[in-house]
Amino acid sequence: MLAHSAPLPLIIDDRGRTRGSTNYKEGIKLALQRRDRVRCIRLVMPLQGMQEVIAALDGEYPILSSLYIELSASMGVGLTPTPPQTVGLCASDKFSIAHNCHRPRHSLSCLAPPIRLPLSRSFASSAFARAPARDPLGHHLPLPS
Amino acid sequence: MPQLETLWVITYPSLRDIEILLLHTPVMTHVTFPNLRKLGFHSSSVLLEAILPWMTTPLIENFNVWFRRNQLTFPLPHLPRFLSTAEKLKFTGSNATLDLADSFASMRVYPRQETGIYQLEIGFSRQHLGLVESTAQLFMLGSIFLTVEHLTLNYEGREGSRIHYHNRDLTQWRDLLKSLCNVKTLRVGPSLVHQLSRILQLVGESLMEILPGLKELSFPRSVNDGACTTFAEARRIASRPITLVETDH
Repeated sequence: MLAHSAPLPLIIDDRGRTRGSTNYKEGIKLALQRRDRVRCIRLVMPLQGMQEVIAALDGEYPILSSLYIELSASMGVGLTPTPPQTVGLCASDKFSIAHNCHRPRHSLSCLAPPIRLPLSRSFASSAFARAPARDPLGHHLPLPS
Repeated sequence: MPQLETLWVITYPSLRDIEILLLHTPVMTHVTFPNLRKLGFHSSSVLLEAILPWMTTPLIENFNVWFRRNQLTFPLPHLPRFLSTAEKLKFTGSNATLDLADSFASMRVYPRQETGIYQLEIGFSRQHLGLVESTAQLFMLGSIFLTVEHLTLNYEGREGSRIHYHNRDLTQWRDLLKSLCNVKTLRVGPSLVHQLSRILQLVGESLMEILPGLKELSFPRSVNDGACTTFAEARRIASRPITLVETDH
């Protein structure tokens, strides 16, 4: 499909929904081969899958402006067992995407800082329960939809 | 990646995973990101310290660092070095906000000009660490913070203004305040005013060593218990007057 598409910039946006499945990873690798078209990359997957995909990130990407890499222990098996409480928290600790205030809304804002859902008080003291709730402009970021 | 402007690295794996990863694939290549403006890093200090010496970011404007639970270990020699070599991250005369909560401690540093855009955010999950220890760790993360001129201290946690400090904590707070040589303006949130009062009451002979450059102390009117006024009066007598500003919030 990529070979026959117009040479528009590519946004590779894996939000972890596919849990790093083999087919999906192959698709990402194919897209990464179009180095001169890749504008944005967001990868959310466990360590093993990430290592495979990162290995494909070889060579120069002349127009790449945003790179977001998130290793998620909640979606796969890491090198060591994940503590149970971490798994539980990660289920609530999903991120969403905010508009990058430095860019117009229609532009490639997909890689703005992540927002963490405010966890319930019972979770808050036992885990990394807070990431920036505001962007660098100090704007409160919207909650995920 | 000559046009890369934004880079976020976020990891959830345990510290042990990261150590194994670094053991098998050590960072060995120096990379220059000539156009990188924003760098976000939410992971472990071990990983950060492994990466920072190998990257150059001449144009970085925003740096956001969070250390996850159990993933902040000292020392961190490369972090201050990285910050000090970033030409656009200059903190002298800047504003800083220190936020403490039940689960985290963080500090944001804004440039001297009031742009409203923070240059640096450093935070960590503080777990069972006390407030004063958390603050001390923040100071250890970046001695650069000690060059700020305008500092805001906030606490939003379950304990509210009922935080109980032992005298040992107060002594630590006092020592931290002594290190803030360049702070000219200090704003204190309602939950910390009472603690500040107790610290100021313990000042005694070290009156001039606490916040020596302070010109203005700002706090909510509703929690004024007189200690700040006493402190201001003592400073006035010592020919180092400060202005007290009582705010509505």
